[in-house]
Amino acid sequence: MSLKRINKELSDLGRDPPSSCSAGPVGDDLYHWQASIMGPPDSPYAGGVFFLSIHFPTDYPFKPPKISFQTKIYHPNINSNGNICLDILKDQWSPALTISKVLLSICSLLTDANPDDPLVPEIAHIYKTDRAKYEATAKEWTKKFAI
Amino acid sequence: MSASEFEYDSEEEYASSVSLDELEALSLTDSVHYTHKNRQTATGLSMHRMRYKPVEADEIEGQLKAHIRDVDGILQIGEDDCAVLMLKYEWNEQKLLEDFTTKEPGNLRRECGLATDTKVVSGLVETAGPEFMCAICCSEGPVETFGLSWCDHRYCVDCYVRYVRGGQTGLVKCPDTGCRLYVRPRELAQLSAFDEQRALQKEEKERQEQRQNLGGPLTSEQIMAKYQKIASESSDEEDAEPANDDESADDALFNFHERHIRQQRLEKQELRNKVLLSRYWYAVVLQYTKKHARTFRNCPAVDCECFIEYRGFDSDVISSVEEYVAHKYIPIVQCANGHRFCFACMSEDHAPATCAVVRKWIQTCADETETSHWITANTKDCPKCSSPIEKNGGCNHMTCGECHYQFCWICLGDWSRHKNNFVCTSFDDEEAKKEREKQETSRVSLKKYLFYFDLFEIHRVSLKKDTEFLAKLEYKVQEIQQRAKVSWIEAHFYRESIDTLLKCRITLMWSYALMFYLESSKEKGMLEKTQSNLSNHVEALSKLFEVTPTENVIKKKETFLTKANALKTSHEKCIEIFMESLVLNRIKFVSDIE
Repeated sequence: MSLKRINKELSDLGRDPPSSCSAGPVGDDLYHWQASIMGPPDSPYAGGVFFLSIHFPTDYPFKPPKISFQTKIYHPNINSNGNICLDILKDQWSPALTISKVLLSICSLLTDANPDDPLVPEIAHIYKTDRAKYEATAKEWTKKFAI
Repeated sequence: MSASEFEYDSEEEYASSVSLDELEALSLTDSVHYTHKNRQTATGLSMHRMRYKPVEADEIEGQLKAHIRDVDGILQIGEDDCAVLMLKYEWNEQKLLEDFTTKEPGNLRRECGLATDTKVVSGLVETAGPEFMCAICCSEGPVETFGLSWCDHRYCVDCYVRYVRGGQTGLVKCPDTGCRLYVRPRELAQLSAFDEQRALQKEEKERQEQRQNLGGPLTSEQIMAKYQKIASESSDEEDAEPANDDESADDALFNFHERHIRQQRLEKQELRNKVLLSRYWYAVVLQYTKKHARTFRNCPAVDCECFIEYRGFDSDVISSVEEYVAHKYIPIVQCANGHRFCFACMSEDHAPATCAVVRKWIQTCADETETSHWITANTKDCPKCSSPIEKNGGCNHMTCGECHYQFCWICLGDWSRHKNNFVCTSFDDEEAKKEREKQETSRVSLKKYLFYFDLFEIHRVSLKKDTEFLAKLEYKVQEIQQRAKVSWIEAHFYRESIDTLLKCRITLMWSYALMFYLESSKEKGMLEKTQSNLSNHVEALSKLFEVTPTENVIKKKETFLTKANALKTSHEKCIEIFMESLVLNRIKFVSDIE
């Protein structure tokens, strides 16, 4: 059942790809995908391309996919292992959500971080107290790791 | 000690120890249990006991439904809407009533995911045409679908059922990501009824197919199933025979009754698993009990759906579980399915070790500090650069591999003082003495740890083996029954004995962990005696299990009963003595255990 759904999502992505993101299987295994997100132009990540790995659980879509950043990124909700703190990837997951929708949510997380529910408290603190410093560091990391 | 004994003893005890008002406050149907059997120990000391009641999910479910009904009596919005509101407000009735009176009704409903107009609609399950595609599983119509008629986000019934089953809180949101509406119990009931009916039809169809296939040759599985059916029927007949041994008949009958009740409970649980609406209510109960974790605890055993309700203490001195634990009491409770666990730390039965000891012990066992202990005990440090060195042979003239310092392995002094003589002459050297003393202390502490760890491990491994044995017991008891041609009741003592053995092994195991942290004293010596007494009884019964071949089990019944009873008594005594020492602070811990 999950295979049928994953196939459908893959063909939908091919037919109507969302702007600024792309995704597809890594090899023959349809349960393991790689995705890329272009840094949103109105964010310090602009110009960078960020790679993510996606693992589908066997009971997908009843359980959320496991998504993590493979490119290093300076963000209050993404830690050094690439783990993302995003409600729809945890308790707010719904089987009606798709990879395409999730990637778009991650894009908007890049534009608007959520410092009140941080995964990396140090970055969140800088984000709240010294926005210019945060943006400079984020830009620097983007240049260093994502371009 | 079984749950039943617990009740009898304690009720009687209880009546003599509390006032009549208190007794009246507890209704007659309530079976209140205690964390330990006697209020007074053998030496006449009175112990504080925690009161609790094993409850089942459907009891709590009934209470919650009544609660919702009561609240709806005030709100007058219908029980289904009220249920969603209560879940949304996490059972905070006060807050809900406050918001209900101050907020605009439409807003409150919108915020809480209730449609503003919820006419009661039947027929929410519809067959969708070929143009339909389920957004969850991507299967195409025609297919049965389910959806709320006021938002009309429809999904195929299979997906919807699976979606509801996966829910953790009892709040079932419409799967559509943009929709904020909740599916109420009333709508779920329709889905559940449809699901159930379909399951019945499927079963019926399978039965028909089986009937049609009956002419053909049977598969090995079918033969096995048939055999098991016959076997169970014949043992049922044996059960019906009256037990003739009147001495233990009452006892056995009671145990049989107990087992029967447990069996029924398991069946009920299975049924609850099958029916979607029951699953939903179980999720509601879970959410409620998690929210009220001070009063309710879910049994931690795998797949056990029983709860323990906290009922305070039988003394005014102690007012909370935290305080109780701080006094070194161990609140071990037993759920309706017979699983024993600690109400405070939620781990399995660990008496007589306190929660703090258990935490420390687990940490100690996992810690690398013990590895470093090994290093200090089995190696010596280079006197100059302090790198640890293990001597694996050769003479006593050591040359450090790191700093090339030359020293004597025996006295740890500079080798040059030995003047290339292979006899150590400077053993009494002050410096060398100090070196050696340091190494001696760590060796003693390691030995002590290894001693208790070994004992702990021995019992842990035996416990594992005994548990495996218990898993095979059902078969073994059947075998005993068939061999000796006796009823189920007659063979019950075998199961009882192994239960007792397991329980005592757990106690023994944890008593060794506790001992590791105790300072040597007269009191500790006494505890050790109690411990070895229990150990002897455990080994005696264990040995009996080992040496008795299946065909002789019934003949040895008396021996089993005697040994098991002796063990039970010894166990009770052991727990009591340990508890006295702990609670009255008669024994000291080596280091600050907290």
